[in-house]
This record gives sequence, structure tokens and C-alpha cells, in this order.
Amino acid sequence: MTRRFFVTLSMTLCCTLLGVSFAQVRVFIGSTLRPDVIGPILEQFTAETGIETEIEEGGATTEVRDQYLSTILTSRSGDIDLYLMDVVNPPQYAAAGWAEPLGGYFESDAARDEFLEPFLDSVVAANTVDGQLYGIPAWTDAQFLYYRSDLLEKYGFEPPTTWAELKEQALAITEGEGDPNLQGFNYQGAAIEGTNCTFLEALWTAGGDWRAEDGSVTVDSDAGRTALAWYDDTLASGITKPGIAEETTDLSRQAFQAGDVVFMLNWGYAWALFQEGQEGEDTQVAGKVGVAPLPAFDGGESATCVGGFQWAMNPFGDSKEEAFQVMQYMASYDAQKELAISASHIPARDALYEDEAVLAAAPQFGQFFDVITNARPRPLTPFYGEVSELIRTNMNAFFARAQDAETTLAQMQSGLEDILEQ
Amino acid sequence: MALQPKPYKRPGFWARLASGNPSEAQLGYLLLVPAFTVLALVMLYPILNVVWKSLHYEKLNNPARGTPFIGLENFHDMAWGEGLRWSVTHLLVWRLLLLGGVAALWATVRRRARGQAVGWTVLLLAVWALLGIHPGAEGEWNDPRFWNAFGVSLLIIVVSVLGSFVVGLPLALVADIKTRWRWLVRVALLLPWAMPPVLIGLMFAWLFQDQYGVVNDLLRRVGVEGPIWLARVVPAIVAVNYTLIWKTSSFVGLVLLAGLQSIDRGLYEAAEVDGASVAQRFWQITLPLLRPAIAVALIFRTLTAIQTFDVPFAMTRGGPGRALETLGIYVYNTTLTLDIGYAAALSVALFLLSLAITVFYLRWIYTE
Repeated sequence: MTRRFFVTLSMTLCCTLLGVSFAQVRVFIGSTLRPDVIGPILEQFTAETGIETEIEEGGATTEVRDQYLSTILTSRSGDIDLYLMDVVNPPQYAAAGWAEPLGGYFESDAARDEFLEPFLDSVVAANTVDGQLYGIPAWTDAQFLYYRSDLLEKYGFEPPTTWAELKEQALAITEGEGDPNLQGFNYQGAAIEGTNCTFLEALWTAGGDWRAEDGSVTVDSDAGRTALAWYDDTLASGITKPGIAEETTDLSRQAFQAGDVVFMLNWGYAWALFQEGQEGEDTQVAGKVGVAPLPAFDGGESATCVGGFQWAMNPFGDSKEEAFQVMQYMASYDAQKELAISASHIPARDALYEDEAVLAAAPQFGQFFDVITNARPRPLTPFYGEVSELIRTNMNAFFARAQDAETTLAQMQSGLEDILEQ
Repeated sequence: MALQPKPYKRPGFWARLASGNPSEAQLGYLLLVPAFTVLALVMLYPILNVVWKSLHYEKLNNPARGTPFIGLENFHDMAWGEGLRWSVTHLLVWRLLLLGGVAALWATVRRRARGQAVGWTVLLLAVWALLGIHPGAEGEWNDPRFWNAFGVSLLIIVVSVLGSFVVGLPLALVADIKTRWRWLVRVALLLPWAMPPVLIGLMFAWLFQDQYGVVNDLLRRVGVEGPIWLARVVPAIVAVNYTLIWKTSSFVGLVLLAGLQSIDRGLYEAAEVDGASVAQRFWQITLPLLRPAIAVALIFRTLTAIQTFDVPFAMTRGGPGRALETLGIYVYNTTLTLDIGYAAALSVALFLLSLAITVFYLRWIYTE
């Protein structure tokens, strides 16, 4: 016993001193990104290749993960080898040298192009910065309007196509049900990444954009005012709960899953949880959920935020070749199929939208192929961190009723101009 | 040639050290070396590094511009503004209070301490003059967010330090009463101080949760509809300060308790014999003799209050909006947007503020 202990100890010490490391790939995954589904796929990979992997779970929201990754990567730590990078991050991480350029890991440019061919063009484009590839698509995502199909049916409604309809239906249903816990419309209003989408989606569906073609910032515009007037109205009419300024993506999802919400804006991952729940978390809405594209304002068009995650490699890690194998494996058809079926992570490969097993688990994927592929990106800039902080903080103050629509728009306008000027 | 005895020469510093027989002073320095090395590595170096970085432009996500030396530009961007002007009426109330303080100083100062009073007056008048600077109707601060964070930090200092003192003193008095249950009182007194601040932040965030929280539940039972604590500006400020006071008053209580125990019981007995009431005993004996302990408690509380980060961050992440973004949280947020140079400048500002307050307190202690 003692002897074995000392042998192990001395071996460990020797290995550490000699810098020998067992080939082990450490993978960082956000706790809400379904590590429970990703884990078994990685185990399968280990069984096939003999390369050990280990999952490190962290942060429930994108900016908490971003904070963690910033700390790890600024300090050039090799503690993790792979991580899931939010779709908004490639330009920023590439500029900061936090994501390993992947071009060199393919035998040739032709091999790289052949590997990327089956993926959605928009997703590959999001991973490419100045012609260099920085991430391999894990899954894509978009925000949808989730609704309680049972309640809509009960009151004879079709899924709303305009925000005004949504308000009408939400009011009718909450009044009809008379349940004080039932919220009409839930979205994200906390100072988190998702709140940027809350703002942008309303702006887009009002026919606006954050930036005009000539590059000037157009947040403080008629479309901006329409967007914020709508959110003012959701609070004033009571379809949205007054504490929306505390709502994060997963709190929204949990409230809906508990049966407390009629309409909700959220990402693709919510679907599988609504159907099956997860360990320690029941679902009250299995079979009672519908998914629709986001409503628009009169005369506007439906629009949504593109989301999703990419496998990115830590440039300071020490098992890069092995890490690259993991990336390829996780991006394979079968791995993405499993993610689509068990986690309702929206596939980044075209062909999976016609795969029968996938469509059986998540029928909406086929139906909303266009919605998904036409989802719009958030501002693409190396300074996205600042852009995001500015929008989410101002929107959070707006939802907390600390500043009115005019001030919010004016502050975002001048702040964005300052950030982009540098 | 007769052998001349060599005159005795005191061995030199290094020779003596090398001989293995150092003098007491040398030994003292020698023993200080490890501690100093560690401190230099973990304190001095980071501080100097931050100061050095604050004089540079360094943005990790803008490597194209490199990290050029830009002198005091970061500080100019931080604290200065455009179209700044000076007027007597800006922040009138606060500045009147300040002048009132000067007047009170001169009304009470003793003849011997006049020289010192002059020093204080100059300092206070300088602060009075500085507070008159503000951007005019057309002008603006270069970084209003800095001044917001500055204000938030000051508010937390004033409210939470005074609050913890007001709560901590009675706590100490209770813990000093001799009963069978004194150990229980002392454990209760120790607990908030021993708990990690982030844990306390998360705990109170749940207590103040508007729908499931205990606070609003209690309010509802007495027929009051509580506010949405953490998603409205004023309630959030109240909730966070309440939590800070809850956490820190036990520290104040402990320090004051130590002070109370050092007071000679005989004084109270004598006062009782002389017929002094409880209130008289408190005002005439306890409070004056407690002054050193009070000073120590205030200093440590203020210094930690300046750097407040954990509790407001865990409760609201500095929100709603930026209503609770303290200087510490602002530094953190700036670092995370990868603006290392500017974050360093903000840290230096925070450091200078701490230093100023420390010097202020130290002078106060030494003159007492």
C-alpha cells in the first residue's frame, strides 16, 4: 500500500518534472450547454482513439463563461485545451490571439475546404476572420417564439405574426386562466448577452438595424423608438412581469418549463428540455409547446438573432493535435446528430435538416430551416465585448425602469459611435 | 624589524556577514529578507506593474495599435471632461456642510493645536474647491461612468460604514453582558463575519427575490406589497447596503467587544457607587474609553468599503443598469472588455482613493 503510493507519487513527480503529459484533452463547456449529452460522445471518442478527455463545466450564461475564458486565456494558461466559443466571439478572440488558427491542422487548403463543405455557409463565415479559420461549428442557434400550444388552441388562436397580436392573445389567455403565476410574455432583460438579442430582434422586426450601410450607427432611430415603445408596452400592459430586468436565458426557460409562461423568446436548447426535462428538473409542458418565428411589427419582417457555439482551441494548450481530433469528431455527422436529437442543439450541417431521426425528435428544425439560416448576426467587431456591455447594461437599466426609452437609445447611440471610432 | 601589532579594525558589513557571526541588526535584516522578497513579488511588483500599465494604451482586442506609452491620457480620459467650469453653487449642500466642518473645527480647536488646524483647513478648502468643478450645460465628463462608480463607492462607504457601526456597537454591548448564553451570542456575532461574502451575496439575493423571496413574503403577511428589490434602482441600493451592513457589523462588533473587555470594571463600580445612571455610565465611561477601538474598526471598515466588489457583484452584478457599479466592479468590467490600460488607470485611481483615506485616518489617530 505505502510502497504503491510512493511509486505512484514518484512517477507523477517524474512526469511533471519532465513535462511529460498523458495525452488528455480538457474541454470547457458551459453548464447550460448540456455537458450531460456531450460527455457520452466524448467517451465514445475515447473508446475509439484511446485519447482521454475530461469535461470542465462552468458558467450558466455567455458572459460568465466569457469572463472565465478571459481569465484563463489572458494568463496564457494551458489548463484547458478546447472550449465552446459563442458565435459573437471569433473576431474578438482572434484579435486577442485566444483561439488557435486552424488552417495549419489540415493537410491542405483543399482538405480544409472539403471538411467545411457540409456545414452551413453562414456558420463557416462566422468562424472565419480575415480569411483564417478559428473555430469548427459545434451547433448553430436562433431565437424562436415558444408558445403554449394547448393554451392557444383552447382560446382558438393561431401563433401570432405581429407583436400586437401577441399582446392581444397574451392578455386574453392570462385573463381567461386567472392564474396569478401565469406570465403572458417572457424574454431576457438581465444584463446578459441574451438581452442584446432582445433589443436587436425588436429593432430588426421594426425594419431597423444597429448600423446603416454607410457604417453610421442607427440605434437612435424610428425603428429603435418603436422597439423600446413595444417593451414599455409589455410592462405597462402587464403581459410581462415587472421583474423582467432580472431574467436570464435559463430562468426564462425554467419558468416556461414550469408552465408559468404563455409566450417566450428563447434559443433552440429549450425544446428538448421542455419535452423530456433533465435530471432533477421535471417538465410541465411536454407536448404542449409550439415554436414559431418571431413576430414583427406591422409592415416589418420577422427576424432573429443567430447564436450557436464553435469548438475553439486554446493556443496555450499542450495537446493540440489531440484536441484537433476531438474537434473533428465533435463536428462529425453522427456527433451533431446526437446533439440535435438529445439536446435539440440546432445542427450546423445542412444534411441533418433532412435526417429522419432528427426530424422525429425536433420537427421544427425542418420547418424553420429558413429561419435558422437567415438569422442575423450581432455586431461583428473585435470590440464586441464593449458593444455587448453597452447594449445589455443600458437595456437592463431600461427594463429596471431606471432610464426611459429616449435616454437609453441616446446612450447606446453615442456609446456605439465611440466604440466603433477607435 | 619589530612586528607591529595590527590595529584592530572592525570587520566590514559583508565580512561580518560572511564570517557567520552577524550582529543583531544584521541578523534582523537577514531574517527580513524572505518576507520582503515575498511581499515585493506579490505586492510591490503588481502595484508598480499596474502603475506602469496605466500609462500605456493596451487593449488586447486591438493588437494593431500595440501598447504605446501615452503618459497620463488614460487619467485624462477618466477624470476630466469637456467644457468643464467652476461654480460656487455646484453640489451646494455638500460643500456647505464642508464649510460647516471647517467652522466647527475652528470653534472647538485648542490653542496648542492651531498649527494642525491650519493644515486641515487647507485640505478641506481644497476639497471644497475641487467639488465646484463640473461640466457646464454643453460640456460633459470624458467618462461619466467613472464618476458614477466613484459616487456609488462613496455612497457605500458612508452608508455601510455608519450602518455597521450603528448596528455593531449594540451587538458588542449585548455580547459583553455576562449570561449563560454569552457563547451563543458570540457565535452569532462571529458567523456573518466568517462567511464568504459571495455566499452572503447569493443568499441575500434569494432572500430579496421579489416572488419567492423571504423578505417579500414577510412583507406580504403584514399586507405590504414589497418592491422588486434587485430590479429597481433604489430598492437595490437599499438591499445591497442592508446586506453589507449585516455582514460587516459583526466585524465592528468584534473589535468593539475587544475594546469593551479592556475597560476596567472598577470604573463602573465606582460610578455606580456615585449614583451614575446606566446612560451616564455609557456616555461618560464606555464611549470615551472605547475611542481607540472605534477608530480601528472605522479604519478597517472604510478601507474594505472602498474596495467593495463581492456583495453587490453577487447580488446584482452592479445593476440594475449601473446603479451599483462600484469602482471595483468597474475595474473588473473594464478588464473583461480587454481594455487593460484603462482598467489599470482605474485601479490606480482606486488605490489613490484608498491611500488618501488611510492617510486621513492615520493622521487622525496620531493626533488623538
